[in-house]
Amino acid sequence: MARPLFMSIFLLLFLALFLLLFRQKKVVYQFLVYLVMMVLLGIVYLFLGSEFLMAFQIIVYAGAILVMFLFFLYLYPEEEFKIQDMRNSTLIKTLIPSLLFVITLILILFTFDVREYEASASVYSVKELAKLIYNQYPLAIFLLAFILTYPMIAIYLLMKGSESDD
Amino acid sequence: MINYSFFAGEKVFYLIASIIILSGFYLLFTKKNLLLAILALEIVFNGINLMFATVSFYYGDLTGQMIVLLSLSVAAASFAIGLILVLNYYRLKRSLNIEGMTELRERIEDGDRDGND
Amino acid sequence: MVSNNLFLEILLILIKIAVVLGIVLLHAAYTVYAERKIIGRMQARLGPTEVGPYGLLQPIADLLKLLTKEDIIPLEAERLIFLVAPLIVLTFAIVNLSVIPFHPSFIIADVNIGILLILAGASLAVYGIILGGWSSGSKYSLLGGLRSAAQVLSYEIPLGMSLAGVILAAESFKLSDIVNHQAQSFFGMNAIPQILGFIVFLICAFAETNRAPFDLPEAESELVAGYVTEYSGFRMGMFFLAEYISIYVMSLLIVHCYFGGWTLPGWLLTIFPPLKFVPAPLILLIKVYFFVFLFIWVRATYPRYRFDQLMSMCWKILIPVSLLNFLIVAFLKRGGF
Repeated sequence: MARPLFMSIFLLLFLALFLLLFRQKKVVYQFLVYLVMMVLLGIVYLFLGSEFLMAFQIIVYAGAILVMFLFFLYLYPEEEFKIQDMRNSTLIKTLIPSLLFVITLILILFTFDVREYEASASVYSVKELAKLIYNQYPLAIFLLAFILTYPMIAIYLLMKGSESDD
Repeated sequence: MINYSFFAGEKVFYLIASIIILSGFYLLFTKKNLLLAILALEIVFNGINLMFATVSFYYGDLTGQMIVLLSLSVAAASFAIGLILVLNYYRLKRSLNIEGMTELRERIEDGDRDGND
Repeated sequence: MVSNNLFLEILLILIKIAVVLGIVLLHAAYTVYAERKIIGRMQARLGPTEVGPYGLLQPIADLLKLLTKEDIIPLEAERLIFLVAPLIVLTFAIVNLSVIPFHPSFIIADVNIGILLILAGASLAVYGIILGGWSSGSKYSLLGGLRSAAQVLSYEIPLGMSLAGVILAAESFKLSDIVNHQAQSFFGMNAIPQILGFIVFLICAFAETNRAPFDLPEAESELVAGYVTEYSGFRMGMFFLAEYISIYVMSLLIVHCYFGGWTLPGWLLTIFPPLKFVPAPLILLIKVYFFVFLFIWVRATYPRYRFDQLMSMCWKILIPVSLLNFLIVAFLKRGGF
């Protein structure tokens, strides 16, 4: 009973945030709308039975990546972000294909109703996920660990760069 | 009477994912800024991640969550490296405008040099 | 529709929240007093003595002063963000309290991923500091906010890595499971086999709470007061309240993850049996008070770090050491400890 109620609330929240995005002129406010969206997305993951993804989304995405972006937003002069393409023709030329893309995606997903999909696991827990990762995807987890060293080096370089700049 | 079964199924998650993807596209197309373009692409990334997690939950396959974990860390890496590239680009050009990025174009001799094609 | 049982459950949770908030707010108020008194003694002064006996009513006088002061909003400020920023910091500091157990049977929400939620709350609270610094429209505030962003971003990584050792040892993200595992383990507390991880965690806890010697975001001698420069009245009070609450959260986390929470190690009980009769909350309280005292002690003792020293210490020392700690835990686990 609680699930449909919460999901409808979340859908309304996302819609409201999407409409709020059109009203904002300043970049920082638009960024804040995105930030709230990402944190809410983390809570939506909770309804999909994966607490670990929720924690990962909030710690890594909202907590590290977007902070890094905000750091950058303040490094540049504010005039840089005022270049805005206000011509309606360009907006239509670009927005209509993307709208079409999303609508067809939604249509395909809504009509795609294959219930005889073979389920490989029915338990949703962190330990189950860890078992799957380490037993079936050792190469993927190795790649993941390797890739995660890049942002660490990158952040270090960023901090050094912003120090020596001024 | 509203039909509540729609909100109990997976379709509402597809709608949320599409809203996130569209909001990413909106930023990408309205702002001609290199830094914001990277942010917009990351937002689109997140919408697709949500679709993966939804399918993983409703069809009982943990591989979807696995892919989301992998793609989140790839997103983190690409974001950090993209920010460094933007920093160096700004040092060279003193501008973040996307329309100024015409280095790969064939250089036209001075005379008839207009920006449009 | 709402059954009687559900109503009672919600009432119980509300009472628990009220109890925790009351205790922690009282502690936070009197930690300010304790800090002034202890630092005063360490610097051969008396500290507050005027209000009440030994100055004991000083926190109440401070609170009245903060509440009645004018709430000034600068002309250059981004109004909305400026007003909301202290609330963000305070909210996420308080949210962290909800997953911390205070007694084997007293916890507001015993969730699966308690430790990760605390990390998430700590990383989201940074937004309040950065946005508050930027929206003030002052150069000192902006610099303080940026410093805070860089510092917390860097120190989150060794913090999480040193906690990974604890999680590996207990095989659970739940704080109560971690405490119970330590009580049954060979050493009795995580701090003995994971001494490296404990030291890394302690240093990172100082950096995460923006306390001395890592109080660069609010360095008095360089940036007037960092991100709090333009704030006044009750909004400044919110920042300080959040800081003291996060000191308590970090102390509780250290005690639960490395010192066995409300339990005493088994070898200590065999040496000195009467310790069995000490009640569990008292053990927890003494351990937490010790770490809060340590926070104050360090502030009175150590000079402030330089910014590049701060960064290079995090990336070149703390992260390799915490990885080493993780490897040691893995080998101990394989050895059967």
